[in-house]
Amino acid sequence: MSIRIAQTKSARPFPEAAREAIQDTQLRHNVRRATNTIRTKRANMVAEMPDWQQLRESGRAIKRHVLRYLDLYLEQFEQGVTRAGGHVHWAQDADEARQIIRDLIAQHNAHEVIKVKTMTSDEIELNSYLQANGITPYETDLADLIIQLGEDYPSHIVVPALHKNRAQIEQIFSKRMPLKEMGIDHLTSDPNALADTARRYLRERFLRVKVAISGANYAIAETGSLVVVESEGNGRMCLTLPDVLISLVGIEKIIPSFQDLEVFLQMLARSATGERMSPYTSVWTGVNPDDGPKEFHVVLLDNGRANVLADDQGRQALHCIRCAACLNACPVYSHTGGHAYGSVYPGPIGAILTPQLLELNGARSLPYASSLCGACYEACPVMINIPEVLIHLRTKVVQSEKDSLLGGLSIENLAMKSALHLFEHPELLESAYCLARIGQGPLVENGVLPYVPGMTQWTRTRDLVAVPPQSFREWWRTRDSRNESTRDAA
Amino acid sequence: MNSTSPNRSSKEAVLRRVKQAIDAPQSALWGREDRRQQELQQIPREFRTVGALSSAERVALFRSRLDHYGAASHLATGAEEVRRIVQELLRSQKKETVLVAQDVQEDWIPRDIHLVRDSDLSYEQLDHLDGIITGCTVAIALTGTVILSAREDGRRALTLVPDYELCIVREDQIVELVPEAIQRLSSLKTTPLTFFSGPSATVDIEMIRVKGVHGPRTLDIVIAMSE
Repeated sequence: MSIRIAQTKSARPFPEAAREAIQDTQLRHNVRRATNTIRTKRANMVAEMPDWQQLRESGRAIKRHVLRYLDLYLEQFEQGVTRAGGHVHWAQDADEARQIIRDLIAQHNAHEVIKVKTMTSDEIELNSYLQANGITPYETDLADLIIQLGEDYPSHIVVPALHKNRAQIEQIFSKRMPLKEMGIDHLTSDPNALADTARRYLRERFLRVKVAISGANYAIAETGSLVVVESEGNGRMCLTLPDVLISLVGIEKIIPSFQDLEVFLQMLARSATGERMSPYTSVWTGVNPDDGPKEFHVVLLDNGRANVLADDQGRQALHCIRCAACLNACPVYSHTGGHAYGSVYPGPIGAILTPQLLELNGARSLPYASSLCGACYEACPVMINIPEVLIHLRTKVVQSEKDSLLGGLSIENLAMKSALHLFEHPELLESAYCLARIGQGPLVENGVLPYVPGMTQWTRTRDLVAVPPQSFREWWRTRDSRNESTRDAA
Repeated sequence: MNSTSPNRSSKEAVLRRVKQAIDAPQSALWGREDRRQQELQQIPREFRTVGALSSAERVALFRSRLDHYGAASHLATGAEEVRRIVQELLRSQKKETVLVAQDVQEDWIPRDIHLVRDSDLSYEQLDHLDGIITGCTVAIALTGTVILSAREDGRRALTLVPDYELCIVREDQIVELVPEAIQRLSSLKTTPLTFFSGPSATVDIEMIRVKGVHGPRTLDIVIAMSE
């Protein structure tokens, strides 16, 4: 088994990628504008719910419960799907999921598939794999279509093309769509015109292509049903019109019962897009004789999720309902955008999910891609304590580095070790202060050291506070002697 | 397919890893199913599950939500008025060939319009219709949502392929809160369900809401008030 989250293992470290991203003023403008808009809308939608905190509590309790009994719920879900005439396939990793899906498509001699937005398919890089196997995937979500035609990568969980503005989208469409054949002489950058162009481009494909691929927002164990929440109707097209439907679902998407939708359907749209409810929600169970696909397959994907489950503290990353409220709330994300994270799961949730899926064999810089301000925790509808998990993962990164030979001899580790030694021996610490006071002299500016030779890693982004003329302990001693003299006088 | 051996062994491998991860050793498995059910019952559900509005207030809230989504709503009292409003809506928008879903009340449908019943029409045939008239299973006032079930309101493609949808909602089908609607659906939970809140829309371009992408671009809702 080999776990891969798209190309994350070979991605550059976050600080390096972020430094480049923040040079792109157009990107920063687009990202800031979009995240500000959603944040405001979301705040309004949350404020009108007097029972929002109670919903959050329930959401967290349900997710926690599911994970404690995940094996039982997965089997219950499988039974439900099978009972309703569907088929369940189990995939340990990305490679296995891709092969299962390719084989299913090949059984129907299909060379094209229509797809409705699924992050999980980006995680396993399904599109490039299908293409290499002679199958053309058509993304049907507007943002995903923009990404696919622009040969780009998603930068946000809910609005994957938010880093592009209308002019850039118009250029992509003009270059990559057969506008003349579609009867469009001149395309403008008006969002209405762009959406209408996407409708015309996809409509004939919806009616023609016989195999569809979807993800799922929820998989209901009680009934074996899947739930897809979307806006445009492209999801309904893919779920209803083709003969064969293949749904790729991460094993953490299970909820116990149909009733639990009363919690999650109230939270998802308000958190994700700042709407009371998304325009469309589809719920379906297996195969139905007079309605929808004749053949239905679910591919249940592990790909590292069991690793996350094994960590008591980190496990809560699997509560995620992919609303992206934490991305929109994050001061780091709003400056760098999603690409800098080097993962299909960017932002705060990606920073705790991606490294854990990979068991820290990759994405090791992501737990540090945060100021730990806690805005993500506040925003999360299922109360994932992201800052807590970030610190937990930083500890794990440091620990594993210390355990390696090179890491044990690294400057950071040696510096930390000597600091520990100093802090454990007061007399040594005081001598060190004396030395530092002499040494820092020429470097101090307004009480801080903006530059220290040999410590530029630290001082590049932070000031080092100068050692004060008198330490607390020194002051305390003078106070003691003063007190003694007053006592003596009395 | 799902009975081939590699897949079965993958199932075993995934479940084994999951069990290991949640630390459910063989010895702790006794009574686990009971504990699961017990814990499930104890999940807190302190949010609102019963609405507080009167029927008139529910209708008003539902209409204001629809208006916000850009869907027009019309009040009608009695079958005759429903029929008249449906007729006016179809006429004024020049919808000449319209399909009516099976469970729509006969006396709601005007007689002088070219009506089609669903007799296994192909998607291409649906694509050539001017529109579709459906009933409704439940509606939610707080979110402006209409829920259709395939068992009661016809197959899902009917409200998807045609570009115009006219939906008739009975006053007593409107509940205030989401949990109330989910409760009402408890006998329909395995039939295909479609929730829609306003017409198809997208915010994928600069977060600007564009109405009408793939689903019906125009949505009229007629609310049939109890007499």
